[in-house]
Amino acid sequence: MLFNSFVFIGFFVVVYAAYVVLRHQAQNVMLLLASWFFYGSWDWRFLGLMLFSTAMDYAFGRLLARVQDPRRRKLILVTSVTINLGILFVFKYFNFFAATLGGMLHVFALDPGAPLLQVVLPLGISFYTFHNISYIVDVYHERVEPTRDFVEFGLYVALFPQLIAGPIARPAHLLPQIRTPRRITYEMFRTGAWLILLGYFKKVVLADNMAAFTKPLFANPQAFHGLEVLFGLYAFAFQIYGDFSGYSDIARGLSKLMGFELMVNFRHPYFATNPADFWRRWHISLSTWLRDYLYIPLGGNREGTLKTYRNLMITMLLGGLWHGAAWHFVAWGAFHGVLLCVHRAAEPLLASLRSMAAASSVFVRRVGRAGAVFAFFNVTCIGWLLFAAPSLRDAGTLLRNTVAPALTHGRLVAVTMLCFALPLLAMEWAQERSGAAVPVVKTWPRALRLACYIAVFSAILLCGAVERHEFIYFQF
Amino acid sequence: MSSSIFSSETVRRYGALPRKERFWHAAIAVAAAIAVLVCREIPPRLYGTSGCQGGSLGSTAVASLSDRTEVLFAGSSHVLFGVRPQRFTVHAMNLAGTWLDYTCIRAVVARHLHRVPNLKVAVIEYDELPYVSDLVPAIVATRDVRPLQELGLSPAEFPTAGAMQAGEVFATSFMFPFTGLPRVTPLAWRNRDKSCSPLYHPPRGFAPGYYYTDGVTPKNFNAGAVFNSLAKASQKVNVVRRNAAALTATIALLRSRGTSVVLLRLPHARDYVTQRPPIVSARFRELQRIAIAASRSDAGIAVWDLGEDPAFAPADFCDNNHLNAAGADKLAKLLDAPLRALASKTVAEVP
Repeated sequence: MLFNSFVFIGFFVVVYAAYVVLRHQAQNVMLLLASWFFYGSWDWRFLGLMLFSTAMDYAFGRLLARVQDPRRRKLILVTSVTINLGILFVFKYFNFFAATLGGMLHVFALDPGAPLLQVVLPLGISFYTFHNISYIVDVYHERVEPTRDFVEFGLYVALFPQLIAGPIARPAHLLPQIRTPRRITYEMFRTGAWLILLGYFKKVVLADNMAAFTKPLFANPQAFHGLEVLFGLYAFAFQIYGDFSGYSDIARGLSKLMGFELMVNFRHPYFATNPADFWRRWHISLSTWLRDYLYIPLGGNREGTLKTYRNLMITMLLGGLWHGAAWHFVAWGAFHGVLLCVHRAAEPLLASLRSMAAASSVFVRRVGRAGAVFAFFNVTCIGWLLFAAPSLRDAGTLLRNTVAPALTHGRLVAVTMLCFALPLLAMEWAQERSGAAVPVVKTWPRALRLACYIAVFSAILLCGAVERHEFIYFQF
Repeated sequence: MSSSIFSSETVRRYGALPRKERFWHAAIAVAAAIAVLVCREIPPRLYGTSGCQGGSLGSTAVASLSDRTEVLFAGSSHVLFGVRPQRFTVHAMNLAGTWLDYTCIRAVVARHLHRVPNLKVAVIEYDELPYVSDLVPAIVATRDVRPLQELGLSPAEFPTAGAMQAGEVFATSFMFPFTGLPRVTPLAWRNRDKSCSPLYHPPRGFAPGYYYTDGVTPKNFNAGAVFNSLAKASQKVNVVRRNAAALTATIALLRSRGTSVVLLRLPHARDYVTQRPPIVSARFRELQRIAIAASRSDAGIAVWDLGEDPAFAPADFCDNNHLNAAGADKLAKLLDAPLRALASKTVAEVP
């Protein structure tokens, strides 16, 4: 039941109609059942695994509430995290590691005959596993009260707008919203409706139209050269952004209509000027999760320069692996890890450049910033090449072909990007400049606002791709 | 009620909002409604409607069914391109569509059987494609209900797998006036000569009472992609089982009316079988067993396998598994006499 399917719209209308007439406790029960139905509609077998995982962590949470002995508490924490990661490993990574090990042993003329599991990767497993781990870790550190109510916890794990592809919720943020009666204000309703409209634009107009160019590029890397590859990479950058941030916007919008506030997941990432800035803007719920539950526990930047680099690399490598069980995702993580390390090492130099820039004119500063944004966007695209290419060899081919003589041009891709990505970037630029948390469109004069709503709505009707494309992040 | 904006208090407060504010909300609603109407008109004016209007092959074939129809062909695009009903000396008609599976074939045949009271022979495609394919989800994914609607099925008659899919079919059908329009994008503009759905086959030729189309090699034909789709579809055990049951039910339905059934495997290019993925070959062997068992149990069921008939040369195909016009003519010559013989038997003669 994809957000961009008619059946989902029907599902939401029914759920919402029930939601608004029910009282708080009944709302929670209904939402939990609806969320399980939503998840089970892909494959009821996935539901069994999620229910097991939910019941287990609910029980461990209750146990932590009763146990005071630090050693026993630690044992409960380790058991829960191990089982959660074990489930993730079996369903997502077992075949990858078994095949890798088998390949390595094959080099030494050994044939271990490593068994491969015939399992389907359950949708959104990485997302709800991270929900569960953050709950149990936060309960262990007494940052949140363990919930007594199974419905409350079940809804924290399974709330359907964010279940399949995030934003990854934190218990301290979401549980209180589930626990207390929600109030849907007019402001929330208005913002929610706008986010849904914008999300659908990003998904069906931007991302799905870009998919028409990126699919053939990554399916047959040898066939593309020169500007076609470069523009194809730009197209993928906008596709993945439109796809994922569109999903996040729709998720946040739907939640707002029901009175929930989900975490902002994207903050104009293509206006980043360096890797640290990028990760403060891209998939914020994952980057902050990795920071809080991996980077900082590893020591963060408190234990010297070398260990900081080590921690950055471990965090980004695992972040890459989180996206999928394949070497090109690991390479993508490593690429960003190296970028972060290099940026950290160059920080003194960058600081002096910044102080020089501060003394120069506004025009020079703006040109400098625009240059930095464009340069870093291109660096990001190299990362996307590693991310999207089916294998590292294909990524290499595409990279070589980018600088190969341009036998073909990418005019059509460029025009499509101008038509659909540029208006979005213009709006994001306005949002970036305003610096406000509320959508900038709400601050515009009424006539301009109306024109914007109608333009976005008409673009969805006229330009939205008709074929249903799955959201890229569902596979993670 | 906790959801405050929906309480009666909120309705009252909404009524108390300044007139200017309420006027603004009304303006948004009216502008959205106008946008919907305007958007409906833009693509046809931009692209024109040539080639998209009028009857398609399916709808014309359905309209042409009558008590004169003696032979009915049913199947996928192999039948659509490979069988030219007007080339037969018996009154024949095609009910075919791209990726039509046995479940849909059953629904289409059952829907129109009452309109062909003198049907003597039903020729059902015997191939792995209708055995493994699953058309209804493809219709929902491409948001194009025409492949089945033009064969005379209403959305309520689509063979759906459950209430959810039925809901999707209804929504797809309801939204088709919008989603069926060509998209206003640079890519669609470049391909404006193909702005109709690829599943839509307007009649290319006319012979009294018959419509047909020619198999033409698509510019971007990719045999690997077709085999990949078939291999992927072959893994769906439930779909394959459902199609097998539908084929058996279709045969039983036709036989209960005394209609002879021919399970016809249309010719494929010589490299087709060698390139076919193993799982697809395995599915075909399953189908072969079903067909042979059916023909052994009932003399009114025949299996005609022309899949690797040496009479068909590479020049008779437009790709590796569809006949072109020359191939379709050759097939008609080959099948005409045996079909006429079958059709000339009286019901009593058909065992």
